[in-house]
Amino acid sequence: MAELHERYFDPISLLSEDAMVPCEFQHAVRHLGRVLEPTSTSEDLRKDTRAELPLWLAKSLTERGITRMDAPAVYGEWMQRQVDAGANTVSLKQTPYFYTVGMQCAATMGDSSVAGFLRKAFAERSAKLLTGSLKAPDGAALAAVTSKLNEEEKTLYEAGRQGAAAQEQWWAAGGHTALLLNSNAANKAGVCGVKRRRTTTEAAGDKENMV
Amino acid sequence: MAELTRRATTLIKEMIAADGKLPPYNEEVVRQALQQTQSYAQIIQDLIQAAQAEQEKRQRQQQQGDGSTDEADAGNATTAEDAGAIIVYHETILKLKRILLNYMRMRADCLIRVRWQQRMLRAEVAENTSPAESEFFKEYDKALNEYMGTGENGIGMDLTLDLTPPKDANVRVMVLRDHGSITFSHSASVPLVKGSVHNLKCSEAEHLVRLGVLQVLDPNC
Repeated sequence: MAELHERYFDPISLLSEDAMVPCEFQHAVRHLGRVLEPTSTSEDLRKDTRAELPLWLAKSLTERGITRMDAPAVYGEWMQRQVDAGANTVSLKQTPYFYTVGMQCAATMGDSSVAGFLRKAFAERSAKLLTGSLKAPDGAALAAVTSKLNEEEKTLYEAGRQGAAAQEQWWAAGGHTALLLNSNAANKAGVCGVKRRRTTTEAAGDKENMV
Repeated sequence: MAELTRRATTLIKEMIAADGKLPPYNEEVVRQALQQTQSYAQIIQDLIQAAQAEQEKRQRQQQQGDGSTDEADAGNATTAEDAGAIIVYHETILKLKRILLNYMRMRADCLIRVRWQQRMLRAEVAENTSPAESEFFKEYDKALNEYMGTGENGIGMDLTLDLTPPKDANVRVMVLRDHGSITFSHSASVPLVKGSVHNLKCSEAEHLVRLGVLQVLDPNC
């Protein structure tokens, strides 16, 4: 598996690492009992203690063989069966960074079944998501589509919508005649959202000028 | 153990929630995070010293002649037991460092954007900055001005004028509020009366658009 490149200055990647992962301690650890469980009577942590650790800590401890990491429940058998039955009906709203966290867990655990499951889920969901986004529904229809998406998918969905809108505007402005006459407008429409709204009026203006 | 960094993480969430604007500098949480790192560093040092002391003690016992393999194994186990706690605290320090650096960087990016788009630090933004950030803005402003200026290292061009490339050199604008008379490069003094429409050079109009005096009717630039 390709090395997952950690983006140090990416706030999203930083937040995604706060996801909790079930771990089991392979060694007894001294002085940590109270940190893990403030009500604990013992200063030390016994071997085989099970605990939920944030991913950033679990990764480091597991790499050093101090804990053993299990896949979080959302990647478990129950979820895999749900996805087998139909990936599009599953709501990932509760797991905003489903794929990022899953990839990191799979890489740390060296478990290819989780990776395969993720790929299957993504392939099925993204196909539906992108064909849906091209239709560009509004209001209630839009809410129905996005209600089951997590943060990662919403970003992808939004990108698809913007791409579709830009293409529509391109055709409205006269397809590639417009592109030849005025490459700037098409470029701008693709680059930033604020400009796109303006190009609608621009396109209307162009038509008036031609008349 | 997620509690360890929960407070510090609110800094990042704050910045994301602000959506490009600059929220007030959260000095309290930053100070707490720094205190946290210091206390963890102290704990790590204590743990290492305790472990070393114990190891020396055991070595001395071994040298006295009754050292067996069993005890050597026990020694290894103890180091693993100690190492766990040290790693947890060390990783927490690294995580806190990353959160704080991300916070600083997101804020600095915000200030840089302000410099390019609004040219100056307006009072409502300025009151949200920390002293170090005001200093950063001043220095950045100076560096950019020097680069764009006509001095020895300057290129003599205002780069903040066209943030998006213009299609046309001229732009049609409507005056939103009276702004007295202004002399433009192509004409004598023009009275900017509310409601009147003008055809201006983009470079001359952009500044007034940002001040909110003019509204662009036919967007070219």
